[in-house]
Amino acid sequence: MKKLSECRVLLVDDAKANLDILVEGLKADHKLSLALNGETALQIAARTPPDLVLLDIVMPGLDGYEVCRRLRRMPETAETPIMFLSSLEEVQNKTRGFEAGANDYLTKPFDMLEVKARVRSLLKAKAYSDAVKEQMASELRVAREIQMGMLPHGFSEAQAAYGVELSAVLEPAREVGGDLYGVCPAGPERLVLFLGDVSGKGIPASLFMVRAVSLARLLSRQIAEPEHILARLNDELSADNPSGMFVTFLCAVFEPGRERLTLANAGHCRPLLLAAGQSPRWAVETLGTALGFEPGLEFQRTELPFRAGDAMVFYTDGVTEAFNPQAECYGDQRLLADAGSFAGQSPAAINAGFLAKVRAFANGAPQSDDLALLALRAGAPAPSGPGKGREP
Amino acid sequence: MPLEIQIQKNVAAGDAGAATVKLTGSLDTATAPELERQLAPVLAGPGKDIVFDLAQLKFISSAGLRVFANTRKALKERGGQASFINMQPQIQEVFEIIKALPGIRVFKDLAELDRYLAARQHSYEENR
Repeated sequence: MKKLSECRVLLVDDAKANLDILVEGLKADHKLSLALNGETALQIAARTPPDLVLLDIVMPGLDGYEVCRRLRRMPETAETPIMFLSSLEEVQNKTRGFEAGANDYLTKPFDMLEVKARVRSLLKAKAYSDAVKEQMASELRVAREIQMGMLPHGFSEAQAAYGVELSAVLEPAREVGGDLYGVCPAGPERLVLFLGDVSGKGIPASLFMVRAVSLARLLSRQIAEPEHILARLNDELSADNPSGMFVTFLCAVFEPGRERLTLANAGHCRPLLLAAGQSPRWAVETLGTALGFEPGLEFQRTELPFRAGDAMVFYTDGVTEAFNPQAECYGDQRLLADAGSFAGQSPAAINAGFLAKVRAFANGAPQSDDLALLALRAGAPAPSGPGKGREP
Repeated sequence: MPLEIQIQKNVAAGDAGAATVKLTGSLDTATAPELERQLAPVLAGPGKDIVFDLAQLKFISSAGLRVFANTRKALKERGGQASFINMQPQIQEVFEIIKALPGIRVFKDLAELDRYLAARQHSYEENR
């Protein structure tokens, strides 16, 4: 925790005499910054964010209320404690001060002992809350590393072994999230792919994600058919699930020798099929029930021919439910329409293309959902030659 | 968007009468805990069935679905069921992922629900 002697207090008063008294009283205990008017105070706060602001109200130019409101809007000082020091002693003035975002209010003339006591109290509260936040943030950073470590790191082995191209993207909305995917080699003729989205966000979702992804990796190697993988995963996740978490989940098994892809869906957004030479379409029609609600559910399977050049895209609703500033969402139909422009492209290019389309659509609106994409294309990667920059 | 919750207990139908829960607005991460809190006393009461009227529900997230799924589970454990009426198309779509669960029933409107309840009561009396 930050020592109180290292904390910086910004003193704002248009009367130099008042500043002198405060400086005299506080300089031995804290670092100090001084401002004789509101504008200067805001500039100093932006440049050297203080740990506490002592703020006069009646000043020429910006008054203390306005300075307080602006400090609250600045990210550097949004949560910095602010104490008004004012000769205005009406209850209405005090109320207005707290409404502007202040944490404390002391009327002039003040006793220096009381100022010092309040300053210490406010700084201690700030230091404690900073320490809690810092600890939380550092734990989340480690949690994120652990979570990201559970996802595949590279696809070169699977690509070479199964004659496919793969690409994946995962962007949690917070440090940790509930989206997941996996690519599991399960014997020479079976490559299992899955992608899921746990209900909710943040830490609760990430805990359930870890459970789902671990089980899915294990079951992918033990069970041959995707619909049976889902049934078993559902049984496991439904047991001991008191908080009623659930995960929507897609599972696919690619058999290169049979040029076949078998899919099963547990309530997840329908995957996109980009078959060579055809318009994009949904790879499965059935939605199915999400995993985790109740044991004993059965899932349907869909078999598709999947030959060299055919591509499949799994995605989470962070893609289709990306919102623009007008609160409209990207949606299924845009996804299907935009997919047309990715015909014949590599999985990496398809994912990058979707991300670009979704970002352009969202147009800067903050997104609240985790986002994941997993794309597969049958057939060995095209040899990389000179690209599109070549002169005709 | 906030969520407005109106809970009506239909006492006229006796102790097994359904409670009707009308939801207006958005049922998401921010609002789901409040619905959960308000449903707790209903689930602790004697009524077996709950009808959710979703005519004014504009948006539902997975956090909202979780509340419905948990309510279904609690009711099912005592032989009751959760019914849903007046679902808008965008809600219907999200709902697909829990619709198949036993103990969840979706009806077009109140009249369809009433016909179902009447039929269920009828068959119950016939079976006595």
